[in-house]
Amino acid sequence: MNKSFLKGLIRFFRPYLKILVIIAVIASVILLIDKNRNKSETLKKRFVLIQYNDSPLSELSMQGIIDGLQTNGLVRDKDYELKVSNAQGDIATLNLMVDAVVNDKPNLVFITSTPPLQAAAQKIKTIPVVFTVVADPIVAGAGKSFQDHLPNVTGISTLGDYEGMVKWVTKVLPSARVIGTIFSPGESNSVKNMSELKKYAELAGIKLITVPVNSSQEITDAALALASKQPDVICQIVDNLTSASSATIIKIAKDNKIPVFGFVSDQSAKGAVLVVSRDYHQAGVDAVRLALRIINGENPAQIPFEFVSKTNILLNPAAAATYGISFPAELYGLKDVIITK
Amino acid sequence: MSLLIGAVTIGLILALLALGIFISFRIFNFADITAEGSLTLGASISASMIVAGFNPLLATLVALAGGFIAGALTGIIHTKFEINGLLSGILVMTALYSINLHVMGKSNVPLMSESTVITYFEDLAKWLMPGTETMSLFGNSIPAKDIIILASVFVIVSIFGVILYVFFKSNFGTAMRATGNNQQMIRAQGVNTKSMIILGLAVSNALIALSGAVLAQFQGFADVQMGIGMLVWGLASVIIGEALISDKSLGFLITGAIFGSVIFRLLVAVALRIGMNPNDLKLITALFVFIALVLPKILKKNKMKSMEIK
Repeated sequence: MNKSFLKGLIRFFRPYLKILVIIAVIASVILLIDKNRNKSETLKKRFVLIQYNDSPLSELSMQGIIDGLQTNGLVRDKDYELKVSNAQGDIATLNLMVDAVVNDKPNLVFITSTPPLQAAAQKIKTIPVVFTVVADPIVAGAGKSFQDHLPNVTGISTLGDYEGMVKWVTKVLPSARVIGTIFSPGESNSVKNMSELKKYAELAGIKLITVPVNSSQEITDAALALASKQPDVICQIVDNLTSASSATIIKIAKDNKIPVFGFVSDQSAKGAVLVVSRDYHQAGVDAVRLALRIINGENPAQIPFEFVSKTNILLNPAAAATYGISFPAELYGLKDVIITK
Repeated sequence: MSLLIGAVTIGLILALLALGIFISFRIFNFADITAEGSLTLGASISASMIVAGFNPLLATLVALAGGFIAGALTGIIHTKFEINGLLSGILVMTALYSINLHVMGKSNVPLMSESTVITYFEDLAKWLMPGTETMSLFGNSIPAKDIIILASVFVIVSIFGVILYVFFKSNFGTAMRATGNNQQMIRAQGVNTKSMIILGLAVSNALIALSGAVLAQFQGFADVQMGIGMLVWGLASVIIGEALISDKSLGFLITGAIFGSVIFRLLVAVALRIGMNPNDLKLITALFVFIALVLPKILKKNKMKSMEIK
């Protein structure tokens, strides 16, 4: 009876033979690489950078991290190893990358953008995590406030500089009382950006009028609707929907003689008078500064989240001239001012 | 070791997606791109409901129902309005993007501190092995909860695999399979092929939404872009499984889809492991899949050659 049972078992598993062998081979390859990896313990610091997709933002911040490590006197492959992982937009691969980090136990993990931060926060509990290019780490779930956050996670928020924007509006256009923006209610970042702008505008006694859009086809109508309300200036916030159509908004505003101020550097060349843009390269450098504090023994739980330390101001004098706007001299004197020709 | 466990777990979660794609691709012979929307739909429904305080099991079931409706919609557009199957899928997938934004109210919902189906599995681990934090396997220590999560996901996938098998072996399921094979013949038998396609796609997308719901709870967030590319991975899993299992009957095809998904994720894990330029990840993954498919054939040929010489 035993024999026939065994035979039946073999017959049942026979078609699976090939696939089971392949699975066994791949699994042992992974384990083998693991074993060798763990043996090669050196004095070098091991860092991992996890990115979600390929974008100018992720490239700029990665360069910032590399430059930041260099300016702090660390030489790549001599003092530290930096393994860069990019999920190339695939969320399942992103999860595997986080597993690989748990496996390898590097000294510290760098993260750019929100999805990797969330995947890491879920699985990495003991290795320090430093994020950057995350607009709102609180909404992402990394903490309750900039001070009270997950114990092994800290980093740099790149939320737009709304306080700075309102300041420059009042300096460049002292008579401005009403500003306007188009926003996309379907995007959490858009709603967040709009309410931040509103908060700082109201502190300065300026009213914000808004027009919602739900698809890219509606943007032309929305821009016309906003222009008909005659705001003194349009401060166009950043979201996925409107940033792709910023040229349309700027053109309609120009037809109605309303100047546009923006938050993304590419708006400047498209005719925005003044752009207050976060510096994503600096976001990488700032992340390194926090990382080195952790490497030198500080507890990440005690390091509050920070905003990126550098903001660029892009001026477009040609666009300004068409509205009869002249920039105050103090603007030209600032270090981070870039003139768009 | 965590990577190995993680890869198998993700492979099994996405095996539900592979099973869904198996239905549309192998039974009805078209690549139903609704998958990319319904996976996110499952994730966003379950995540939003869990955040709103509903029971995670209920949330997962509603996600499954959401996928069912999405798939039925594709089927209706395809059969009742006679729009090409691929385009029907594209239409529903496109519409689902906005719907998912509305379901979540934003582009991304975190589930960090919420109780999910996965935390149920973690509690199960505590109950089964009180006091054991880590287990030892082949000389590696691994968190006990990871093993239990893996085992639980395996059980879920097995249950759905068996249900699918029984379903497609029944009279009704056989008629559904015949719809994909030979519409004229089965219509002559008095079967309404239109409702068969609608129901088949609904079941397919229900499974895919379930996969999305479990994935969101496993990784701790739902994101409006998480479905992008999933159809391709699902197709790859189905085809890999088919190529590597020598028996082509229904039961083997179903298990093949599950195994294919696991193999695919393991291959990605190896690609991640060998430490290459990150830009080459997808190139290496494609190469590995190619090798996994071709190598057994080459070995077989060599074996036959050596037998001939004898």
